Parts: sequence; structure tokens; C-alpha cells
Amino acid sequence: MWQNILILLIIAACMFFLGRRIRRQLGGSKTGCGCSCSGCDNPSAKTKNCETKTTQPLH
Amino acid sequence: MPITIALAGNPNAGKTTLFNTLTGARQHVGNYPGVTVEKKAGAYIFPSGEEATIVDLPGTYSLTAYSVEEVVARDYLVQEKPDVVINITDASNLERNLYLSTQFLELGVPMIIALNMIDVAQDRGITLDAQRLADLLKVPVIPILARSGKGTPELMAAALDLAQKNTPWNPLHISYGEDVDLALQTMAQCITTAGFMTDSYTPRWLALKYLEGDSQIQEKGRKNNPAVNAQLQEIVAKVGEHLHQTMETYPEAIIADHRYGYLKSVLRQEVISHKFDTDRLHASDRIDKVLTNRFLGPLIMLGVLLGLYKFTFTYSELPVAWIETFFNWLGGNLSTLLPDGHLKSMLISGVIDGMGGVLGFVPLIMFMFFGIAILEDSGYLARVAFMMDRVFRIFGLHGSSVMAYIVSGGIAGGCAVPGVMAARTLRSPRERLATLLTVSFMNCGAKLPVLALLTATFFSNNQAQLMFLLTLLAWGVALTAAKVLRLTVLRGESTPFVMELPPYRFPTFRGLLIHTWERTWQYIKKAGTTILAISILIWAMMTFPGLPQSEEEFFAQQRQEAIASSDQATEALSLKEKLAAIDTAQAGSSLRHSLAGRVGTAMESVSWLPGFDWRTNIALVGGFAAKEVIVTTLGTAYSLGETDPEANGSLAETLAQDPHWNPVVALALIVFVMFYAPCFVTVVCISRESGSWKWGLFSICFNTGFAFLLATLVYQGGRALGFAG
Repeated sequence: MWQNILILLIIAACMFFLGRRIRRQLGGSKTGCGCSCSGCDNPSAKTKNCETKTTQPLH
Repeated sequence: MPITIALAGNPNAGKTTLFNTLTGARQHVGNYPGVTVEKKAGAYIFPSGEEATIVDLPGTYSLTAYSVEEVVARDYLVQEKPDVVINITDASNLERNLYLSTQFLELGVPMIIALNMIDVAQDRGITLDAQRLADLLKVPVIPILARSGKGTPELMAAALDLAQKNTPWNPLHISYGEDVDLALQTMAQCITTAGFMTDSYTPRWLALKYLEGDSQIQEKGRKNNPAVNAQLQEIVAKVGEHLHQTMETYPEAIIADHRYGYLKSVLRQEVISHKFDTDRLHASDRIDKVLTNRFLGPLIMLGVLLGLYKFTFTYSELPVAWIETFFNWLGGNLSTLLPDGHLKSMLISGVIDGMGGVLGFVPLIMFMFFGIAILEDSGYLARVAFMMDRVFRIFGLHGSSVMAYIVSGGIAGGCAVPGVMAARTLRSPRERLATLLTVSFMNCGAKLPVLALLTATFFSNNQAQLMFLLTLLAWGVALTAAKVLRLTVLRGESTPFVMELPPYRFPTFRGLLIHTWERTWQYIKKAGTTILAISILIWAMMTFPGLPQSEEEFFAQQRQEAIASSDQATEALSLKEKLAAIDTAQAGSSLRHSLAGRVGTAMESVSWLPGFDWRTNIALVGGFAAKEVIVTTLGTAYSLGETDPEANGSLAETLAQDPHWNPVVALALIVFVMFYAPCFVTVVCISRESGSWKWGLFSICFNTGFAFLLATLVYQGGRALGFAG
């Protein structure tokens, strides 16, 4: 029983983590800015942000 | 409130290096133009305690809006109005770099010129009088070495001094000849009278941008006041026609000529002197005579690529085997320590056999990144781009697309996301879109573990050679797809391209280690976070809902029958084998009955064409989240189907023993993984950069359809030729 509860909690945590990542990606990345598939390449405590310019539609 | 200091200059002048030196950040720096395509900010504290925000702007050759990064730089300067602009210039190419400086002066921003790479200039026999240049341009000029930080305290002291003076913007007025000057004057008057966008721009600068044909400014003008815009356009057309009739030229060319003329007159006043003959070949030029030679260059390039793969696969083999052994040992120990149940299954099949498969390739990734760092830091990668430019033009792409391809994994190991961003340097929207849609065909670092797993399992004797051929295939397919797009939905004229070749630099060992570690750490971090989370979810989808009660009872009954019959005649060993076979059948049935198993099995109705079974189908669906997930999913699928605890070999060994797998299936899967839908993050990036989700969706459908066709050809062709065994 305790194993199933633990598994449920782990799965919920994974879903929350991935959901948050997807939301950030779709929401225009205020933190990760999509510098690479795993987020910004060079996280630094001193690097404030990495702003992505909204581009005009190409077509 | 902290003062704002913007770092601006030509591409590859050392802005990001200075940004990193000042802020302690570790933004990526490459010895090729166009590494920064968006602005980044960092904090700096002066020795006196004042704080500053340092903004690293994308490299740009002009302040006229041609490409996205030029718009980013210009908009920032005009709209945000930083307190100080540090204009980083490459001292060894001063004349060309100062062209942008004159535009800053014309804008009137409070500016300091940083003469970077003075060591390179000295090596080339160039002597510069910084004080003389400062006197002539009436702005502080400070020689620096951004790499070592030499001169940066003086630079920042000058920046603080300038910021504290808080002088109003003071635009420089250059004469562009009678015709243009007259037009500028008329237009400036018209702008002032109408108050036309004067809250953002000075009238003369605005008029200059109209004459230069700045599309962004003209568009803004049209929206702001169509009547004034039409009036200005009329003047532009008139002066353009006059210049064409009298000198067979156009306003933009006249403006550029006069700016260079202004610069020459400044530099001639004992600002710059050459110790050697100006036509003397520099070391970089001499090396380039061989490395970019029309015939030798491509051969050397292919040799370097093959050498890189040989180096990577040869030296990473042993450490990869150590990590595999470690994960096998860990899995074995956990298996004996933990009680049977879902938790044990998740830790062993989901985490260790899943994520462990990806982490096992860390040494390979590390060696590959080390090799790429050497090519990049030395400046050779820029030569590859230069040589590929000729090829790209044939396929309707722009020379600037080459770097986007290379960044995406042109040499296996890149990432499509920065590749998509790098396409911002392209000025033509159609060329840019063609690049955006095809960069994902390159072999990014996430595809690398999948390719390495399959090549190591089925083509272990020719791994490096196969990887080399796969790289050529990726380039060939991407360029062909681009050509198809340029001939159909993205038809249009090609734009000219001038490639700037940075000087060769001897890479520092520390720099190589930092670059290698930065990228390797990204790989490990991704495996330990996103990939781990996806692995656990896929494990859950492969485990639940489990077998229905009736089937559980059926297998229990089979076990009882086997035990009952063994009591009478058979030996204990035979019973053990029978029970193991029942366990395996139950595990397989349970896996097929799971949520993921049902999806994978349903997909078999079409996936038989390229030879993929239901396990592979699940892995490929998971691969849309991130390509590494293909390895973790296969690891989990085979681990869940395995019931014999003594048979816990690596995934490569398992695949090699599975009767479904053979070299033809592996090759079809390699081809499919290389070209099918880009990962989710890349699709989001493509959509964002193209400004429409339509193109993100197009890349999913186009790539998957194309990959399916190619994989089917490989599999069915291989079978027809009798290679499938």
C-alpha cells in the first residue's frame, strides 16, 4: 500500500515538473528563454534574464 | 538605481567575452560571428560601490534594420536609452569596426570605444593611438583585452564617469554630399514640423533611415502618420532617381561611401600605422590558403570530421563500458535489496535501465564536445561555414544558414534550439524560414545516444565511419529539403552573403575544458531532470493498468499445472525453466496490456512498413518530448519484459540478442530518428521564431512523413536485398 502511495506521489511530482516546463516553453520563457533544449546554456547567479524578442510572422 | 551599460559592436568583436569578464557570467562564446542573437543582462558592481546593469547586445554591422538581431540592438539603444554604450571594436580590423561606431555617433548615444584584441593588432604590425582617436571622435577610447580582462578597470571607470556626467545625446552630423544633405534637411524639417515620431527619434536620424531604406522605420512611419510617410517617401524616391541618373548609384551606397570617407579621414590623422606592408599575408591568411583551398579545403574538412568521430568513439569506448558496468551493478544490488513491487520496478526498470542508458553515453558526449570545442575556439568552424556557403547557394539557402546548421548538430552533438535562434541573422524571411524548417535534420546531441547505441550494437566495427556517413546524409537531406521548400512554398530570390573570417586563435586548454564541461553538464542536467521525469511517466504508462484478473488467474493456473506435472517425473531444472517462460510470457502480456503497450501495438498497423515493433513505437512517441527518451524507453520496455534477474545485461546486449532486431531494422530506425518530428522544445521555438504555429505543425508533419518514407525504403530495400537475416 505504502509503495503505491509513494509511486503516485512521484508520478504527480514528475507531471507537475514537466507541466511547468511545458507551460514555460509555451508562455515565452521568462527564465529559460530556450537557449537550448535543456534551457539556457549558461545559468549564472549574476545573469538576470535573457529576453527573447517577439518576431513578426514570416508569412 | 543601477546605471545601464550596453555592450555593442560588430559580430565576433568580443562583446560576450567582455560581458562574461565583467559579470562573471558564462554565456557561450564562439570564435565565429553571430553567437549572440538576443540581448542578455548581467550585474556589475564598481569598486566604489555603484551598481550597473550590463546588457550584451547582438553583434551588428549597422543600425539599419536588415536582420532580427540588428533590430534587437537598434531598438534597445533607441527605446531603452542606456546610460552608456561601450562599443567593442576589433582593433585588428578597426576601419570596418568603426563603421558601426560612426552610426552610434550619428545617433548621439553617450559612447566609449573599447579597442579589443590589441594583441592581435600588434602581431599584425598595427600601431594605434587611442588618445588621438579619442580626441578626433570626441569620445573616450580605451584599449582592452577582453579575454584576460586587461584594461577593463579603466574602461569601467570611464563608463562610470560618462554615466555620472549624464550629458544629453549629441548626434554627429556627417556630410553626405550636396544631394543627400539637401534631402536630409528637407526631410528633417518636414519631420520636425509634423512632430513625426520625434518622441523616439531625432529628425535627422529618422530622415537618414528613410534614405537608407530601413523597412522597419518606414513601416512604423506608415502606421504613425501615412501622410507624412508618403511625403518622406516621395523625397526619397526623388533623390534616389536623381542619384541614379547622375551617378548611377543610390542613396544607401552614397551614405555608406561618405561614412567610410569620414572614417578614413579620421584614421589618416596618425591614428593608425602599419609596421608591415599592408598586403603582407597574415598567419591566418596563410593557413587559409590551404584550409579553404577550393580543392584541398573540402577534403581536409571531411578528414577533420572523420578524425573527430574516430577520436570520439575510440577514446570513449572504455569509460562508456565502465558506466554501463556501474549501472548493471547498481541494478543488481537494488534488485536483491528491495522487496518486489512497483517501487522496485520503477527504480530498476524506469530509473536505472531507462535514465542509466542515457547517462552511460556521458563520456562519448564529453569527447565529442571536446573535439567540437577545439574546432570552434580555433576558428576552423567559421572556415567550414565559409566553404559550405558555395554549396548552400546551390540549394537556395543563404551563407548565414551554415552556422545555424552547424550549431544544430552539423557536426553531431549540437542542439536545434540555438540553431533555430541563429537563423535570426538571415535577412530574407523566406531563406530564414527554409533554414528554420530544416536545421532539425542535423544530428543534435539528443540524437547522439540513440545513434551511438544502435551503431555500437549492430555496426561496432565501423562506428566512426557510419557516423561520418550519417552526418553527410543529414546534410544532404537537409539541403535537399531546403531546395524543395525554396522551389515550392518558399520560392524567392537569394540574397548576397559576405562571410567574415575571424583570425585563427590557439585554443586555451582552460577554455576547451570550460566549453566541454558546460555542454556535458547540460546533458547530465537534462538527463537528471527532464529525461528522468519522462522516464518515470513512461514507466508508469508501461506498467498500468496491469493485467485483468482473468489473465492473472490464467497464468497462475499455468504455474500450478507446471508444478503439479513436475512432481511426478520432471527434474527441478526443467521446472525452473518452465516457470521462467511463464513469467516472461506474463510480463510481456502485461506490457502489451499497459497504456503505452496498447498505443505501441495500435501503431504496428503502419509501423511494420519500416520494421518497427510496438516497443520501438512507444520509444518514438516518447522521443517527441526529447530524443534521448528513445533510449530510456527502450531500456525500460526491455527491462519490464525481462523477468530473469541474472540476465540483466546492457540494453545493447539485449537488442543484439532480440530476434526482432537486425542491422536493417537498426538502420531504418537510425534514419527515422534522424529525420522525424523535431523535439517539442524545437517545435515551440520554430513556431515562435516564424511567428506562427502553422510552421511548427508543418515541421512535425513534413519531417515525420519524410522520415517514414525514408525508413520504409531502407527497411524494405534491405529486406529485398536479403540483409535482414
